[in-house]
Parts: sequence; C-alpha cells; structure tokens
Amino acid sequence: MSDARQVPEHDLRAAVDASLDHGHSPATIDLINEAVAQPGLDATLEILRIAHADSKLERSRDEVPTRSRLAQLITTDSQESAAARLRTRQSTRTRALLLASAAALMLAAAAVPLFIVEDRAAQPLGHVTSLSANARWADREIVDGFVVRGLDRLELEAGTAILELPGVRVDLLGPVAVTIESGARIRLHKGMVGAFVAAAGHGFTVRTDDLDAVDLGTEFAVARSIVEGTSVAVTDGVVNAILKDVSGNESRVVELFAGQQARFEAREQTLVRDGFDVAEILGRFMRVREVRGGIRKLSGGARAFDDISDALDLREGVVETGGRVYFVPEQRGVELTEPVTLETVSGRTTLPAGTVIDSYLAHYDIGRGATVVEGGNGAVSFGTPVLGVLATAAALTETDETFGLPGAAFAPAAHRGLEPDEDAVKVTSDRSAITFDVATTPGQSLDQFRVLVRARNP
Amino acid sequence: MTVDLHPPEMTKSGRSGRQEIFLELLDGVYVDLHAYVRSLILNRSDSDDVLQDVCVVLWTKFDEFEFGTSFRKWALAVAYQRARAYWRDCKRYRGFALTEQVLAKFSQAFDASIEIQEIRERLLTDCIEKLPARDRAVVQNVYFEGVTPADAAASRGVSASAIYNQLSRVRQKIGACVDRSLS
Repeated sequence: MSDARQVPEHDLRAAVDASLDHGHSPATIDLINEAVAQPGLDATLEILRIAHADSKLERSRDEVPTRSRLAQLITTDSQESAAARLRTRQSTRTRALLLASAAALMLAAAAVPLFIVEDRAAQPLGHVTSLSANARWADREIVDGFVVRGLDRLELEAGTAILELPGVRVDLLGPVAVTIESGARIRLHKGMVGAFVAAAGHGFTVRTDDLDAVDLGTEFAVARSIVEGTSVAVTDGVVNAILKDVSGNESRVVELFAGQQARFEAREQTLVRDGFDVAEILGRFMRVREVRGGIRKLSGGARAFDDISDALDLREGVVETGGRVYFVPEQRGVELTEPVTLETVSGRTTLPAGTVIDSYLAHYDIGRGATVVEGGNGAVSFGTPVLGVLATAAALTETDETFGLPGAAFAPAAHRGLEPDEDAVKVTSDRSAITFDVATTPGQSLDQFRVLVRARNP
Repeated sequence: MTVDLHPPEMTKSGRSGRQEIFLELLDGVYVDLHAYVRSLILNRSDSDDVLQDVCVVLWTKFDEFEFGTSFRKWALAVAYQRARAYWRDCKRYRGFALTEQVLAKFSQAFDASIEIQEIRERLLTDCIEKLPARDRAVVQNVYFEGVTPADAAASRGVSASAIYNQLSRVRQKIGACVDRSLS
C-alpha cells in the first residue's frame, strides 16, 4: 500500500466525524481503511485523537450543542476535570448499586442489568435542532445541538423545535411535553408532535397514556390532551395505533393508512375513526411544515421565523433577533420568465428562464440600543440546491418585489446588506447549505441577506 | 492506567462481594474502556451499545478473570473481540467494514495515543495560563465549571453568540499555542 494516495487530513477528519455522528457509510469506511493502511501512524493517531475527544466529551458534558463543540474539546477540555466528574458520577452509581445489592440477594442477581439500565439512561440518544425564533422552554434554556439522553424530559412552552433521533425527525410543536424513553420511543405527555421516519427508524413509537403509535414506515402526527385523549393522523405510510385500557394493557390494534386519523381516550374506551376534521389535528403541523418550506435544518444561531403576518415589518429595530439570525420564508415558486443576472456572494450568476425559485430572507437585527459589537453564526441546509445568496443592499432592494414577502416593509438600502470585511456567507460546495457569520456594530444594527433555492415543487 | 489486583481479600462473601469487586474494577478502567471501544467502533450510538455488551460479557465471564493479572488488559481484550464481531456483522449485513489490520493498528496505538493526548493536555494547561484574563475566565466558566454559554453570557451582559464567538477565538489561540509547543 506504499503507493496508496495520501488521504487529505481534512477528508479523514470529515469521514471520522461523519461516522461518529451519522453512522458508517461505505465511503467513510473505505477512506479510513485507506488512510490507516498507509505507512506510519499519522492517520491512526489522528483518528484515535478524535475518538478519544469524542469519548471524553460524552463522559464529561451534559450538553453537546454542535459538531464544532466536539472539535472544541480536542483542544480545550481537561482530562483531569473530566475524569474527576466521571469518577464522582460513577462512585455515586457504584454506591447506589452496592446498597441495592446489600438490601436483597435478589437485587444482587439483577445488579448488572440495573447498572446497564442506569448507564443507558445517560446515553446520548439524539439532539435538538432547528429551533424557531419564538421557541421557549419551560424549565431551562435549550440551545441548538442540545444532546438528549435517555429519560430526558423536554417541555417546549412555545414555538417549534426538531428532535433528531436515529432515523427519525420529531417536530415538537409547543406547548408540548415529551420524555425521551429511548432512541426509538418517546412519551408524549401533552401537546403535539410530528414524526418523519426514515427506513432506519422503522418501529419508532410515540407513546401516550392512551395508546402506542407505532410507525411502520411513515410520517404521522400525534396530539394528546387530557380532555380529548390521543389523536393520530397519518400523512404518509402506515401506523399501528395500539390502544390501551385504563390499566395500560393493550386492548386493540388499529391500523391507520395515509390520510386516515383516529382519536382514542383510554378511560372511556372510545375510539373515533371518522367524523372529526383531520385539520383539527394536523392544521398547525401542516402550517409549520409549510412555513419552514424547504429548510431542512437550522443550526448554530439560525432560527426559523414561523410567525408570519401579512404586514411583517423588517425594518431596522422592529423585529429584533438578539444574537440570532431569523430565516423568514418569502415567496414560493417564483418562475423566471426571462434570464436574470444577479450579484451573489459567489459572483455574478445568471439564472435561466424557467427557473422556479423559493426565497428566504435572513434577518439579523440586534436593536438600535445595542452598545456592543454583536455577532451571529450558524448554518442552514435546504432540501433543494441553493441558487444564489444576495448580500448587497442593492441586490436586496432590487429583488424585494420579486422574491420578498408580500406586504412586508423593508429597510432602506443603507446598512441593510452585509459588509464584506465583517460578514461572511458561504454556499457549501454541494450547494445544499449555507454557512454564515455576521456581525453588527453600534449604530448599525441590521444585517440581511436573501437565499434563493430551487423550488421544491416547480 | 493498569489495574493490578492483588489477591482479593474476600471480606464480603457471596455474590454481592464478588459483584462489588467487579464494579470497583470496572469503575477503575471505565474511562479507558469507553475511549477504546469508541476508537474501534467509530460511531457514537453503536459504540455505546457495544460497550454495554462488553460490560455484560465482562460480568458474565468474571469467573474467568485471573486475579493478580491486569483487569484493564482483560477488559480491553474482551472489548477488542466484541469490536471484531461488530465489524464482521457490518461486513455481512452492510457489505463494508474496517479491516482486521486497521483494527489491530488502532488497538496497538491506543496506549500511545493516550500518552500523546496527556502531553497535549499538559501543554494545554500551560497555554490556558497564558491567555488574557478575560479569555481565561470564560474558558474556566464554560469548560471547567460547566456553565452554559447562555449563562456565561447573561452574567456578562452580552449575547450568547458573543460568548460563542469569544470561545471560537480562544480555541484558535489555544490550538496554535499547543501546536507551537509541540513543534
């Protein structure tokens, strides 16, 4: 293998990161095999360094907001402090187990399973992402990338957020409260969730006191209230609703297909399959989907702006964003009737006639009273290719009428666009996402840029 | 971190005493075992599952452990075999796997990599000491005391993103300092 190609270090890191985060793929494993097979230990030690840091992070932190946080640890955490914290926790665990085993011989036999259960409860199972601008949590601040662990309870008082579990995307629509029972099951206490289940997540279950909604390859929504019981609506695929009686025992299995819905209340043992409006369950769910449009994921300081009104005022000092950047969905399905040349962050780009475009305005406003330099950074990925990012004041003003939100009020050109020496927006090489790093200074509180993507359903 | 258990004084008789010894031994090697399995599996959730399996196997085979030998070495050996089985399954069902040679190289380099990490971390401490007081304080808060960036921001009267930006700059400084010291 001495003549094998040298695997670039950043490619190797990306492959290891991808495997750690998202699971193995033939491409990442081939690349790792190739890199390690080369003479010397450079690649091996680099991989082990990343794996150690990842291990240390998991053992020492309760919160891992982003992939970049993992990179932070490589250079900044302290093994001593991490080990000390771990040891404290383990000693507690050990003492608890020893007490349990001393209490009864029976428990002694079960001690290892107890130990396993306790450890499993602490395992990271997924993370929270794509918060809306108005997301508000009940008992703590949860930021993008917050790692959820077994038996974590999340209570979102307002706004929306996405919980990513293995093979499953769960939309949390506040007010909602859930407990993460495992990577494949959540308990819905109140409110509504939507679940998008990929092949790897089949069998995903939303459990309530009334039923278990078990995915059989689908997209579905579940809503629960104490008064009305649990409603399930299937938008795609099949769901088994396993109904329970008041004792929690399974009493009936109802198979629901796309377009079907049911409502069940355990105490009264009532099941309604028809005669109520599916929009009643799905209305908000579908509206959030529509508002988010083609945005697949927001991370870092990016927030979805779900609260769209007809007369949205996007002038300076009106919709203040703190240190975050709001992504406001604008016009959808704009078809160009003639070629249009635009000044984008990647240079002049001509979009041919017939191109159908969805638009999003990134809005960052720290408020007129700000007295310090502020910055926001993050990333947004889209389900369709990014066609261009317009970041100059002139380009924004020029395209407000075509792509801007109808009825919205826009700021005058001065200071509206990005400053090349202070702000940066980049489109990823596969054009699936953008990254941004913007900053404003006192007296100049507003930054905006517009992202044009190919429309989802031209 | 070699754990050599001298002939155990079985002051606690029966199963609970044996279990107590097992847990103490496991507690002593758990940090290394976690990192070792993560290094061989290279996926977070899968390695957690494998680690759980390894713990169960260690417990069920604890009778085979020879007191007086290294529990760490035994535990890592069990973990290595479990990792091989994981990759065999991956090859069988998904058609790809880390090669035996790669696994062996990871295992052989594991201890060396820990030593290198320890050197880096010693340098890291020195580099943190050299930071300006303002940067050192935020590092202390967020990384050592577990204060969330949001709380760190609130206590300073700035936005969370300002703290994230500051941490980003500090990481770059520290990384450059460690690299300079290593070279």
